[in-house]
Amino acid sequence: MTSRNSIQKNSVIKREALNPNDYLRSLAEEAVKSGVISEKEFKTLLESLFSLLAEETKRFTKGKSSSVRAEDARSIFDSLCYKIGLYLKTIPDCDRAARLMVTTSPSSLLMRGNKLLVGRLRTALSLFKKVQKNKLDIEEENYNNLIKRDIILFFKKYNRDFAAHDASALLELTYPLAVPVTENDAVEYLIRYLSTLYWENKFCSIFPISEIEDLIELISPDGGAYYNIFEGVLFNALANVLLGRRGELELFEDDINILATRYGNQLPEELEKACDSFKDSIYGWEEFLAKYTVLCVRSSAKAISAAVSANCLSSFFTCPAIHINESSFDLADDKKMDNEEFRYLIDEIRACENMEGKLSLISSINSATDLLDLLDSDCLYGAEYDIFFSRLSQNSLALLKSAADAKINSGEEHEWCDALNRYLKR
Amino acid sequence: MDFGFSIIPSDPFREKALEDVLATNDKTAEHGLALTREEASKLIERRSTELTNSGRIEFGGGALKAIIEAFCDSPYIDRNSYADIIGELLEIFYYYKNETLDLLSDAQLIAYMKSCFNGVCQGSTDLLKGRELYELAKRIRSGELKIPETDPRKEFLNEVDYDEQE
Repeated sequence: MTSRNSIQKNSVIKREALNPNDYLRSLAEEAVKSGVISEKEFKTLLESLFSLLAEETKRFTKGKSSSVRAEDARSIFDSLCYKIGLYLKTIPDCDRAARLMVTTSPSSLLMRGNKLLVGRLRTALSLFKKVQKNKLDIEEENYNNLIKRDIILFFKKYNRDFAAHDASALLELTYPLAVPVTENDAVEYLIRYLSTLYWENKFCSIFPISEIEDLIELISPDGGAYYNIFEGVLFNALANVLLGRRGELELFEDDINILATRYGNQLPEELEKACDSFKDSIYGWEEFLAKYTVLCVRSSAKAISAAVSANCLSSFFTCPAIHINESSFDLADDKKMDNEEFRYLIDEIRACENMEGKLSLISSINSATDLLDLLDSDCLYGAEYDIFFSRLSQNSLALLKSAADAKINSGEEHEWCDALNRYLKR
Repeated sequence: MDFGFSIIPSDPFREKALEDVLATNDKTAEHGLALTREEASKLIERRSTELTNSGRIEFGGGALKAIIEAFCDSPYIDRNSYADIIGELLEIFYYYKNETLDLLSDAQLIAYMKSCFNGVCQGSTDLLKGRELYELAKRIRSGELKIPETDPRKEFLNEVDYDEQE
């Protein structure tokens, strides 16, 4: 026996064929093509929509103008189609939705769409209040601006009466999430954005604020950079878990080297597995956060693998830069070495096979004259120059640069002069 | 089949607009003015053209009807020039709705037009368009002239009262 319900389930119009961002129009087109509504019914629908547009336009001009600019009329029309579509989208059976479109007055459908939209805006508003409550108490300009100013600006700019379809108010939300929201609909986008932000805050709040602030200081020392705080917190926290330190964010260069050596290209998978370790730390660890943390790791998996292969994993995690002891290469004292002592040093440097050893020997030089003599004596080769220059203070580099320029101008040719120029250009 | 959602016609209710215009004959007859069906049709046609030219959309015959009712008692309009002048006034009206940034209501703009047309312009649509409304639009756009929300006749339109200037 074929029940009425089973007939309704086999809709002629397939939801997949409809455009979710232009639902009413695509539903009407599909309905005519598939014969669910006749062309005559479609024309009547269009006329009714224009009558509704006339009414809405009257409301728009507060009855003071019988005409409006074409772009305003377009916006009002798109807005009312969007709101009607919003309601029709809630009807699972597309054929039924199409029939409803021509059997119910558009003003009644608009009213139902309006009600839905207001309900969604209320949901967004209540989520915003939750985000205000679980906001991290940190000094981060973009993050603080988002919660104190930008989201409020969205609510002010979004015109639910005459431009409900227009998502341009979303441009106010410049703070990036770890995984961007892909929703096109303005209010749906905001709801997802706020609920994600709520969970990002909740995750970050299990760590001491002072550690998060230290992290922020390392990510953006001068402030103003656009980055996601949660992402920085998550990856450092996961790295610490892998290193056997739970609930910590601080990482050092050595830690990164251990991770790279221990896990190699398996690091993304290990980080993903480590996501589970937070479930006991967060009250109400929901399915969302469980999936979201894994998604964050997966979306960065390629970048992590590439960083491991390129031996620059430290650029992926947040850790303090290695502090170079510049004082050992500061040439300010200018105490020239004894000639014999200097020759002995040159021989030792030449005989030394590793760069760290060479640098250690060079650090005993305090005189610019000695350093220039050393460079002229070709103790360093190829890439060794870059490592050596990277350890010099700005003053010492400037001193070397002027010496190199003088040598080049006088026609002298030295490998170190070209190497310095190449280094400074980079 | 054209699904018609993409293009909103500039006057979707043309038939109704024609009936609205013809209905004004009852009032204008008091002043010896009336439009034939053909004249009314041409005015509706011109209205469509002017709406398209000015990039505007109108529902019903609102502005045309209001212009006819406002100007039918003008001493500068007679039976012979009636339809042509109404057509010109309609063109000026839509043009200056845009030029005054939609800050004036239909009633405010029509009242100002009437005031100038019957006053300083002495029935010249050229002076009305090229001088009086041009100056008004300039003052509105520069922010020099603020548009009151309340009854325009009491505040704003007193600036140019043709009775005083005569």
